[in-house]
Amino acid sequence: MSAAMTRSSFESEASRLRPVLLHIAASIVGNSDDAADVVQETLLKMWFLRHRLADYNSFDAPARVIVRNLSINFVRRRAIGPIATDKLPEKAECERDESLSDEITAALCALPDTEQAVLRMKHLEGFETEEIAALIHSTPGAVRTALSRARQRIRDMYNPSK
Amino acid sequence: MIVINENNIEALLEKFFDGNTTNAEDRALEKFFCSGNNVPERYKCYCDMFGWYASGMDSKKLPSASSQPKHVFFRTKTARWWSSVAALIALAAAIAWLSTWQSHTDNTLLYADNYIVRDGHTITGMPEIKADIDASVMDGDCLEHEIDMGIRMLNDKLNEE
Repeated sequence: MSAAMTRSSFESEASRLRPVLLHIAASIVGNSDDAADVVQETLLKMWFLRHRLADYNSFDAPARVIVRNLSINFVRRRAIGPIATDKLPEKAECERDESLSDEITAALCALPDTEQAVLRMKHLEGFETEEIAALIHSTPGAVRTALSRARQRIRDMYNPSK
Repeated sequence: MIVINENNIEALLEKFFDGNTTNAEDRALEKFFCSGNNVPERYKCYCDMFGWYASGMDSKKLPSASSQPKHVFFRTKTARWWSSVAALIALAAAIAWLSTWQSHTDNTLLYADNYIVRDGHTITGMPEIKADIDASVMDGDCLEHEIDMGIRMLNDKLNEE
């Protein structure tokens, strides 16, 4: 792992790990489409965590923790899936994982959700929609949908009557 | 360079909210709406919003707290279970107290006419009637104390969760 993760390194790591993350997500949420959404959000969070990954010797461990927690949250929100919700762990949003330091765990808890992440990548980091899609192995359409929702939410905050 | 005017502003805004604008179009929109004087009146409502985008998107400066997560009570399954138990105990206690109170009321009404009927026998005499009423009142007090204790224990348990 290089000290400062470049975009190409991130894409390479994300590409390598994506099948594993999809498998973990699918085993919890129950289908490949929802698993793809969860993995998309996972990789977005990993992108915002990339500056902290230099202090940690693995790309895999935080990614696995994030995808597991997001999958559990996804099932709870939708109340669907092959695993009954009463069999899920009690707390998943920022579950302490023995493989991660407290610092990394705290950083995970502060990460934005998908819509916020896409908004920040577009407006603050200067990525085009297609670049975001390539980075997180998603589609431009999915990225535009997330971006649209985020922008409309911000619009409604400023103009509640519209 | 993209020039925004009254002819294309509506279409660009729609494209923006559909998530279809390029970075260059986004910058042009920010520049246009932050220019102040050139913005037509009916579009001035977007000035603050694009000002927020242009100034770094600080979430603390957003106008609404609607993005704040709602405080969720009884988040965990255990807490929800304890709250159900507390509700059942309170209900059972209330039913028990009400039946005692009803009995107490009956006796009070009878007491007002200076006699009670027990096991088919008419009993007169203030000492007998008063003792019966006093016993019912004491039962109610004890039950109320038990309810209070139970609720306090359950609240302590919930706070530990």
